[in-house]
Amino acid sequence: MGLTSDIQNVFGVVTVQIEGFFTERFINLCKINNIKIWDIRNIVKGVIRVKMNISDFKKIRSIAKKTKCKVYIKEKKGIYFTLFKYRKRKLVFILIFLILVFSIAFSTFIWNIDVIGNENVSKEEIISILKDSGLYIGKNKIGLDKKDIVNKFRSKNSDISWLGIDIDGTKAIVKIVEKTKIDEKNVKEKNPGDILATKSGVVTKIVSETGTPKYKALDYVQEGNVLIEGTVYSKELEVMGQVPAQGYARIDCIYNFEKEYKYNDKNKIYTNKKRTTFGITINSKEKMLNYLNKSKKYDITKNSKEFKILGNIISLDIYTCKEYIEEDVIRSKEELEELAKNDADKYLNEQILGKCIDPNVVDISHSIIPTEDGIKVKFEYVINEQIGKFVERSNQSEMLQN
Amino acid sequence: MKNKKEKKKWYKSLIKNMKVKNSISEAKEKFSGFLELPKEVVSKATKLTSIENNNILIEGYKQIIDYYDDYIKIRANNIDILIDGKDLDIKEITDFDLVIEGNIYSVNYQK
Repeated sequence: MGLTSDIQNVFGVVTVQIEGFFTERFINLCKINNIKIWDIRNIVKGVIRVKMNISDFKKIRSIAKKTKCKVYIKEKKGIYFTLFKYRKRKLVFILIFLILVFSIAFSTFIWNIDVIGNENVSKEEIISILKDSGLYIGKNKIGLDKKDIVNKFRSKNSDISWLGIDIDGTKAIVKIVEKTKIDEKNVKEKNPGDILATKSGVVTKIVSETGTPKYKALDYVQEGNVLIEGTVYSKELEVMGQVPAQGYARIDCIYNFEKEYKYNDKNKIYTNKKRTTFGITINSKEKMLNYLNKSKKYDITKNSKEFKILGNIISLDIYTCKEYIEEDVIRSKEELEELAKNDADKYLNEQILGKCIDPNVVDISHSIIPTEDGIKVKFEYVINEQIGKFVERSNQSEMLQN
Repeated sequence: MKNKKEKKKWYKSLIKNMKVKNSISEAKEKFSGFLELPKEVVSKATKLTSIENNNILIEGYKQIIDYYDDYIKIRANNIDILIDGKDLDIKEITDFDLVIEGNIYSVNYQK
């Protein structure tokens, strides 16, 4: 049978009952006359039921006459018969016609816009610009000038280097290629300017890509001084021109860590009790609902939200109070030294190395001075690090004033 | 006398034709054997394919001679095929193929 014949049969199929003495002859004649029949069922001798296409039904007439058979239609199926059944109900035909017309008419409009390839520019922005340039949801596909839309779009938005519009059914696919932006650093450093020292120390290395270096190795540089000048000189020390200075310097910088430790100390032991209270701050005057136990000690952390009402700054505060008990601890000298070392390491890692650019620890020296009831620890770190900050000429005067 | 001679001639020509036909069919068989082609393609033979006892496909039939509920007789090229069974239907019929469905008990051949 197959799929193709099934599709053919959708139009109309009849089940025919044939009665007569020569049913075999009838089947053979059908075969000879190229009439396609299937599902032949013998009900009793001389009565068979056959399925056939409606287009072949009229050809049976001559065969039935020859074989002296009677033909009865038992079943009708297909579009032809259903349409024939509803032939007097004109509304059905009108509705079918309207559905066809509307489906064809609505398929000529754009119902969806897809944007592909945008990273920096948002989809909503692109769609709004597209709307201004003539492509929007509800626009008719017929007479759509893609080139004109692309030109209008590009004149309105300069961030996009290429735009392509594909229409797939009722969906418009807008493909976008954005312009690659130059780094902000390079954009800023177009105007002439100098590189200033951000920290003071002994210069170990100075690298100037453009501009004139003002210091040599082993010179001492103060914070805020010009490391690399943006002025270019000739051999006779005449000014050749102004450029944005580029480069960096490495200096040895000294950091100190000092702390006193006592033999008798108090340790905080937190009990797992927490209390929250509320407060209000009006123009930096705090008012807290204080119902804390005065005999106990608390660690208080504050969370606040500010409002501006009629020029007054009002903030609502939430205080979380952690209760703790103080405990006296007596430590030996060795214990204090170890504690100091841990604190110093923590300070080095968090406060110094974490904030420097490409740091190297050159030297660490420490001294312990005994006091009356404890010790005083001094740590000195020599760190080799990279410094240098570009500042424009116009901004330098402002910085100096500040 | 003339009639006798004509009769003889007619008889001889018939034998000649038969011989030619046989030689052609033999040559066809040899040719198909040499090229390893299926026999039913080269000569006008009938091919029967049956799926268990429910379905029979007959390729290369000529006509249906008898068609009953429990018995079908089909003429092929050289032989008659007799199919016995119960509730036999002709599922599909084309110029060349015939598909019979039902409870098939036996298939017999008659020359």
